[in-house]
Amino acid sequence: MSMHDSLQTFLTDKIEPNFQRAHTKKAHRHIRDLVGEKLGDKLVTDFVMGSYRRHTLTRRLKPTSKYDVDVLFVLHEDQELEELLDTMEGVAKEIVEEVEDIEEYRRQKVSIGLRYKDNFSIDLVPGVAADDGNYTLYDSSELKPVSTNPLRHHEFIKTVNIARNSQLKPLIKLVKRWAQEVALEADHGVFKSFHLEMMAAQLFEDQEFSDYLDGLNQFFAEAYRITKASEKVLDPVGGGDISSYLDKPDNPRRQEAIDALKKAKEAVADAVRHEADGDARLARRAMGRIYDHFNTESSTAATISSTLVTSNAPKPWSE
Amino acid sequence: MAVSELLNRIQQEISGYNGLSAEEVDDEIHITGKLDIGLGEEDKFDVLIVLGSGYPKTIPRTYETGGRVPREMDRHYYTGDGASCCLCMPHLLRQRFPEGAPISVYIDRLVVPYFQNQVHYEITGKYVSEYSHGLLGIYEYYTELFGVKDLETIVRLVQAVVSHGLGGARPCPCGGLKKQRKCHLNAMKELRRTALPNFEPQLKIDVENFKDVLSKGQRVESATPDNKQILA
Repeated sequence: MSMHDSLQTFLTDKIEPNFQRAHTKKAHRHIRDLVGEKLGDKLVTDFVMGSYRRHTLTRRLKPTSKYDVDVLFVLHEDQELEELLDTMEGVAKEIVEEVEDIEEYRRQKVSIGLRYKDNFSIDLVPGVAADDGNYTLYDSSELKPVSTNPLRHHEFIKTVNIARNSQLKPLIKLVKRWAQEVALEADHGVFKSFHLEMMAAQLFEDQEFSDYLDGLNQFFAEAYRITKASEKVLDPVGGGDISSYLDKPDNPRRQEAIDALKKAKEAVADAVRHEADGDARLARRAMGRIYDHFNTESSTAATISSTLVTSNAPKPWSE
Repeated sequence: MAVSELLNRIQQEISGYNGLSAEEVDDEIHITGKLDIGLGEEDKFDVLIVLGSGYPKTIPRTYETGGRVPREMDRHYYTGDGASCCLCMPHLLRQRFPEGAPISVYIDRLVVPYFQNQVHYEITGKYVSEYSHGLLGIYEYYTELFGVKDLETIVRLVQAVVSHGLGGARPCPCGGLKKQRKCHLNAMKELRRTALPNFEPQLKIDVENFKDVLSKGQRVESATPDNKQILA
C-alpha cells in the first residue's frame, strides 16, 4: 500500500469527524431561529462559519471534547466585545431553559458556547457589520476587533480545493490532526487551526501536489520556512496577520512552532525518500514520528533508549 | 606492521561479525558489509569502516553506504570528508577505543550504538542523547567532565592539561583553595589520557575559542568565535 493510500485510510478511519451532520444541522438551524426570534431587529444576519462550514473539521483526540459549530450573529449595534457577549449571554440563558438537549452554556472569550448533551457544542459568535462588506469579529487570543469575512474564507478554501482535485480539504485535515498531536504532547495548543488552514490554502492556490504525502512534504517545508523567518501570514480577506498569536508577549509560541514544524518537515521528507526507494516499512516508520497511528515501534525505541543509557553509550556529537 | 599482517589480525578480530569482511585497498584496510546492531534482520546497516594507513595510531572512519540516513549534520554526519559518521565527540574517541584495542571494541562501543541511535531517531525523531552543535557541544562535554559550568574555570582547567601543568600538590586551576589531587586532578588526567595524545591541537583550539567568547562578552550558546575551526 502506498503512503497516499495509508494516509487515506487514516483519514477515513481516524480523522473524519464521527458525528451525524444531519443532526448538528438540525440543531444549529433551530438555534439560529431561536436567536433570531429573541434578537428581533437587532440581528442583521447569521450564518454558520469556521471549520464546520469549510468542511475541515477533524475528530477530537480526547473523547470528552466536543465539536464546535460556530455561528456568527451579526448585530446592528456597534458595541464593544463585552457588551456583545452580554447580549448573546442573555439569549443563551433563555435558550438553555427551552432546549432540552442543551446541558449548559458557557461564556467564552469571544463567544457563548451552548453545550449539547451529544458530542458537539454550538458557539454563538457575535459580530458587527463593517462598511467594506466585511464583518468585525474579535480575535480570540488578543481580543482585538478584526475586520474579516468568514464567508469569503469558505469560498477561498472551496475554490482551491476544487483546483486541487478535492484533495486540499483532506490534506488540511491531516495537517490539523498533526497539530492536535503536537498539542497533546506539549499539553497545550501550539497552533491555531485557522492559521494552518490558510497557510495550506495560500501555498496550494498556485501550486500543485501529486498526493497527500507530497502535499504534506511541501506544506511542512514551506510552513517551517515562513514561520522561522517570521513572515506574516495574511488573512486573504483583510483581517491582518493571522500568525501574530505566535509572538504574543505573555505567551510566545514561535520557537515551539518552529521546532514542531522542523520535526514534521524532516519526518515527511524521510518518508518521501524511503517511499521513492521502495521501502514502505521505513516510510511508515518516518510517518510514525508525527502521527501516532503509524508508530508501531515505540517499544523498540524504548528498548534502544534503555540499552544506550545503561551501557553509557557515547552521545553522538552534532559536529 | 605490514598491511597484510594487519589485515590478518583484523580478519580475526571481525570473525564474530557474520556480515562483515575485510580487504586491503591501496595502503588502507576496508571493512565492509551488513552490520547487525541487534535489532533484527531489517535493521542491519550497510557499512564501510576505513582503517587508514596510520592505523592503529589513527582512528578509523565509518561510512553508511546504503544511503538510508540523509547525509546531514543534524543526522550526525561530517560534511567535509565524504560524509563519515560522527560517532561521538572527537575528544572521547580514544576513551572509547584505546589505541591497540581490537577493532571489535571500536565496532561495539562506537559503531553499533551509533546505528542503534539512528534507528531510535527513525522511530521517534529524537536521539537518545546528543551534544549540541559546535562550540556549545564541546562546552557541554567539558561541563560534564569537570562538573563546572563557568567558562573561565573550564578554560583554566583545559589550559593546565595542554601546558602539562598537572601535579597533585599544586593548587587546582579551578580557583578553589584545594590541591589538585583533592579537586580536579582526576578529571584533568582523564582528559590528558584520552584526548591529549590525538587531540592536543583540538584542545588548544577549544581554549582559544572559549577565550574569544569571553573577550567578546558572549554566551557560549550563541557564540560565533573568530577562531572556530574544529578538528574531526
